[in-house]
Amino acid sequence: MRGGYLHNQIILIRLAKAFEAVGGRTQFEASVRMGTQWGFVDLVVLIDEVLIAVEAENTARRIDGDLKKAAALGADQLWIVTPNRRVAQSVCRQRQRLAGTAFEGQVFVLPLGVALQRVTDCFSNFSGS
Amino acid sequence: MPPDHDIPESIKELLYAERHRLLEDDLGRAVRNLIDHDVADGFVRNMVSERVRKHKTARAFAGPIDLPKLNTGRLVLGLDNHQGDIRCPLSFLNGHSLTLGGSGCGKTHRSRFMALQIATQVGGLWLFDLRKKEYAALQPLMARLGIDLVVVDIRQLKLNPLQCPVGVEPADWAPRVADMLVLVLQLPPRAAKLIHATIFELYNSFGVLAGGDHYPTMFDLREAIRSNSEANAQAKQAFVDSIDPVLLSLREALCFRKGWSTSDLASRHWVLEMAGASEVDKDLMLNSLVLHEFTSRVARGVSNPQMDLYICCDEAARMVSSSNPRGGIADLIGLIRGTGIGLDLSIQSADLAPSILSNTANKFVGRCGSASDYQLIAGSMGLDREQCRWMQHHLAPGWFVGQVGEGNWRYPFVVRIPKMKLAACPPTGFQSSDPFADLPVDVADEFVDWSPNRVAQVSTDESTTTMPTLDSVEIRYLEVIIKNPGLPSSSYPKLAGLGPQKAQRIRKKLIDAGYLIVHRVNTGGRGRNAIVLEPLETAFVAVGVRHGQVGD
Repeated sequence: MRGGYLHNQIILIRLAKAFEAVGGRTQFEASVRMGTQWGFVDLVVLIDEVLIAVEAENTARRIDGDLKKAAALGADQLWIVTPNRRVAQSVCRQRQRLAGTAFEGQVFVLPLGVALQRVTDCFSNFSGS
Repeated sequence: MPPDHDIPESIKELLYAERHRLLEDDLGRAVRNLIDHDVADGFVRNMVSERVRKHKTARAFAGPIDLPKLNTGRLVLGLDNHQGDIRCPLSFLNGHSLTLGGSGCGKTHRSRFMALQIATQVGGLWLFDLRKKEYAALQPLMARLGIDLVVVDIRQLKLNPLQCPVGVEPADWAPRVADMLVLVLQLPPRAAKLIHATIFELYNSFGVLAGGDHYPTMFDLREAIRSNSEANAQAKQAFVDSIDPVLLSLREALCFRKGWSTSDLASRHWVLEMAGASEVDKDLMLNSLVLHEFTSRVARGVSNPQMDLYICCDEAARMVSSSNPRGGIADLIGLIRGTGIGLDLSIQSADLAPSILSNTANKFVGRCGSASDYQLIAGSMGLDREQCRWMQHHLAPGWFVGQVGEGNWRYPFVVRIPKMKLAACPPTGFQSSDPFADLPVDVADEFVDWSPNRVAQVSTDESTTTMPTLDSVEIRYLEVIIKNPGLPSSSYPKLAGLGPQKAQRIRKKLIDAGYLIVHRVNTGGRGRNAIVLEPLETAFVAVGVRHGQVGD
């Protein structure tokens, strides 16, 4: 898996475990074809017939690529998960600048804690909230 | 041979009926038997005349190319003019197939139609997309047949051309791979000797000659030749200049001491997509795969078995071009025959190396744009002028004039490939980034970031690095962090059996000493960000755990 400790151990693995705990099927580094190029979605989750592309981001630099990859994957939702709110806000501002991107599904920009809470709230039969 | 006018009309009709196989049913055989025993009366002779007359009438309407007498076998080549199946046994494809036709004539469609049928009848199916990405569309149909068609990009391959194929001695493989590299990289002949000798030395130093399987890589070969001061300068420079772009381009595919074995791949169904790669890259990978498998089969004594591997090359023009007579498949095609491999090539023009026409028993020609293409293929298929002209005027997309190389019926026939419902674009999504993850490989870690321009390595010599000595409590604190990644820092004192004040002092010391770094992460959904500690490489060394071996 590409990425550093924060990207992999802190964000992706914890999220994958959270999804698996509520019955999701997960795959790290799922490849997608974007025209002539290959891209890799950090984590793909299939849960309750919803296909979710999860991208862990420490900066707002690669948001455009994340949206294109999610569109190429045919995902229903894109979750951009950040380590904290400051990065999440930066990602949201960057997204507004990229209005009109091809991805038509729902996009959620979530700090890690909120993302974990959302997994429990939306997909668990025994919601923790 | 008597003059034509000396032969009685009835004999002419009999000869015509024989030539066109009009007497092959039970009644026809009985008629022939009566004529042979000279007991045929007017009624019997009239039966021959009637069949001949009907056949001539049908030909007048159908054109100069006869309906084929290919009715047996499990493989459907397509449909004839009367919508009947044209069939042949799978073994016919052992002789290899060539499809020629201009863009849009249906070559790829034909090869997909064949691949779909053959997939269930062979152990392995290799579909090489040299220019486009069209075979991946077969995935859903293959899935319905219970076949998992894996799509592999050229850079996802895990190959080591210097790895000996199964059953081949290293001493036998070294000259073969040296010749292959000279061929692929278009090196001067002198380079073959240099490469051969260097591979031999590498095999010796890596213990391969003694039976080991720790193979040198192409990077080792490049470095060994580059550092050989006694080597012929021109040969050395030619090799280094040619191999560097390949190694840079295919670094992630070639940095394996032990890559995928073609013997394992020969039992898989997969598509290799090479669009976008340079021609040299394609040549190297294609030759590595095919030469490995062929050499392995010869070494294992595989001869004239039932076909168990079908290889399809779409848009193979460059591999079989007459301007590249010793390149790619052209040089191998004569050798592959008889090793249980069926090869299907499709090309757009008849710019062909002579060995390709000689070694493809089954030929199919679709709509072409050039008279010379028709002339060349018509000559090799034995078409007369009338048939050739018919072909020029009547072939439409999906229609081919074919000829099989085996069996009793060797005449050309018209075949139409039925339509198939295929997805407009290949499926994306749950396509693994690591295809064939179950196949064993040995990664050459030292070449993962290889660059032709040497980078000065800054050594972290432990004797000169001043790291503070850690006591057992600090080590225990580090162990807890490594084993429980991602927790807030407030969780670790309890896990390590420490008081919060002492834990804070230890944490500060470890951060200052470079064992840990701090991230501020929102782990709880609300409230302040938690302090999350990341153990650095020094922490793993201090604890004695390999990086990546992290428990829960």
